[in-house]
Amino acid sequence: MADRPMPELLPTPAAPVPPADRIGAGVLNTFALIGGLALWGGRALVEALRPPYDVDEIVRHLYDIGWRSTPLLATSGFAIGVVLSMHTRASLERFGAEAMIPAGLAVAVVRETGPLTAALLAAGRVGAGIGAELGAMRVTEQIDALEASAVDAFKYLAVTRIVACMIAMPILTTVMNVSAVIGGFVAEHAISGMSWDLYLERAFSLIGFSDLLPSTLKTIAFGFIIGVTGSYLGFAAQRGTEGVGQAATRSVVLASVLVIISNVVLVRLIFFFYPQGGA
Amino acid sequence: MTRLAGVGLFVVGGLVLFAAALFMVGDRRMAFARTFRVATQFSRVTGLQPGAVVRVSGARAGTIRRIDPPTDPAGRFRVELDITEELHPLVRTDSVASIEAEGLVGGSFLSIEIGGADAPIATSGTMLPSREPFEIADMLQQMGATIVKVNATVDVLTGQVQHALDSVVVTVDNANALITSVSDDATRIASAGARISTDLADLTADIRDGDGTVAKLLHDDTLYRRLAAAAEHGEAIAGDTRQIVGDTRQIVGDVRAAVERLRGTDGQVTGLIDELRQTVTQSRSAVSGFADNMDALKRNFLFRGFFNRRGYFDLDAVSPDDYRKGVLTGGGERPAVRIWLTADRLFAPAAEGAAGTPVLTDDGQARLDSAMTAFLDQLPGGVLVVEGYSRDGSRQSQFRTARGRAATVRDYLVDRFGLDAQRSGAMPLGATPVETPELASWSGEGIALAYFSDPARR
Repeated sequence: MADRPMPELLPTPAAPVPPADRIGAGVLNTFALIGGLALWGGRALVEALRPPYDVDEIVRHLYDIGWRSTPLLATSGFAIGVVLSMHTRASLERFGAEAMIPAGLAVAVVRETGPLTAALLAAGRVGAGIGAELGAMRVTEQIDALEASAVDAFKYLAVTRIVACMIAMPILTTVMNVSAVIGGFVAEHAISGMSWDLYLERAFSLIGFSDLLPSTLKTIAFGFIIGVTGSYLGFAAQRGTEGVGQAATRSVVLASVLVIISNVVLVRLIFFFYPQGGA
Repeated sequence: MTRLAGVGLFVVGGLVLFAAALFMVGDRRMAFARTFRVATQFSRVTGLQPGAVVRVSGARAGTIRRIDPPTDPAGRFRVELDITEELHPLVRTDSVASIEAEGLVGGSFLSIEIGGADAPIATSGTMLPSREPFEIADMLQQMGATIVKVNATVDVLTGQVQHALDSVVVTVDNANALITSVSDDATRIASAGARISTDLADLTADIRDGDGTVAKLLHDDTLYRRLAAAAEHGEAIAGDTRQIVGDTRQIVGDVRAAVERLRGTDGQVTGLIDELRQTVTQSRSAVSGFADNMDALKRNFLFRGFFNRRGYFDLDAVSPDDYRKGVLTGGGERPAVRIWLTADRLFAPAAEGAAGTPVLTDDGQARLDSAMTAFLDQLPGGVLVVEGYSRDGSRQSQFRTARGRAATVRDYLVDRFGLDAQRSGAMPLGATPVETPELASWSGEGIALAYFSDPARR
């Protein structure tokens, strides 16, 4: 739609310019970026709830973002589980608390390591893909062509990807958590010969609903951030292939930073609603 | 695999895994098990939180539902807990609940003991009896106190054992010295006994052989006859002696009668004694008058300095101002030596009231005795003045307190060391001390022993 405002960044001033001007331009660019992201995200939420729903496009993106990311996150989760088990053992066996290894590993993975690592991996893989794909469409004027064909490019290209990210992230996080627990069991079984039943019993002995539900559901917000960042920077791509590369790189960096920052806020919110952190 | 199947597998698989995780958590939390709710009470919950594990005889049986704090300090925390119906028959009304810790690093959980077989099964809402938690910190504190007591006891025992060992060592040393000294004497006694035995044997042999005086006494009649004659002479001498004694008694009686006649009222000796008495009375009167005259001379301003320099002065007539000006020093011929003693070390605090005279404590008396040893070698001859000081209150109060302190100490020293009362005085100086080099360290509360030595003895 031609009448919809497209995100724009302030033009980079030509060198040389005084340092104060550069700092001022950087600050203004930062605020412009934050404001653009906020508006982009808010608009995406509104459009996501408004029919018609482009389910086919969401499923297509879900396949690319979710299903094709599963091997990456499952493998990473398994490796993280093995490494965490070894590290936890090295610490706890000093106190003769080897029995606490499964519980400690499970709590660490479910509460924080799994969601955050899954979000960062997804930001790297999915965020870069969205940014590059939409950036390429922007510089090749495919988006303009869609809008010239009376297709809502924002809803068709951006909202579907954002919704797919929001659906895929909790599932990817669950996959990563399960893979990490399995990896921890493999490492523990190799060292101490612990059985699967005993491992599961001990792993879930300290985990409550307040550990599992909020930490898994908060990854919906991570998916939203990844989708919004990638699509915004892709739509804002300029200057040909160079702009496509910049959009991909900036999508990864900005999505990762925003995921980490938002995680701090979300953890505080979880502690506010579940102060005991217990059951 | 088609794209749609992949997405379906991804979504369904993810949901199944998530549901499985939820089910496992719920199963461990007994979220899906049938439970019954009971309660118990504790004065302190020691870290027990809602959601904590409940164990019945060690088996996982449920979770803590809620903990209600008491409404007043005398109240107790009310703890409500859900227990699975599977273990319901084990929980009786006499089952005791207690808070325990899962190892040193674990959290707290609620433990319920299996009740007695005769007690009824606890129903929902039953208040179970509880046992207050045992704090490791309390145990450590008690252990610390016990160790301190044991250390003190060991120290005392060590001292007593050391004292006993010292006594044993001293006793052994004394016994050794005694044995060493006795051994020489015993040797000498044995030698003397041997010599006496030899001498007795020789003497007996001589008597048996008729040698010596004793043998002649036993064997010769001539000696017996001589002794009988000597006894007859002795009897005659005794008769003469009786006669002489009778004559002597007669002479003594005559002399006594003569003396009695001289002592009689009309005798010559009586008149002589009366004259002597009259003479002595007149001499005393003259001496008394001379003493008064001399006293008057000593107080006369013309002669006062002379007498003071010579050491003739009346301490009762010396004012504090004259004393501070050095009237007793005799122009430097009698320098004073001072010993300063503070009031809190000499007098009992309770007696330091407005009511009465200060009372010396035992420690104060000991300190005064110790201080007086510096002057004992120079007594008598000099003049001892007890200077009293006080800085509290008005000048009148200072004067009264200073005089009381000085008089108390002076009386004690006069009585204790038999000092000449004429050469020892009490001088109330209030808050204005005599200028001396030691004044910088003087607190102003107490007394000073000032001894003015005799210039003739220096």
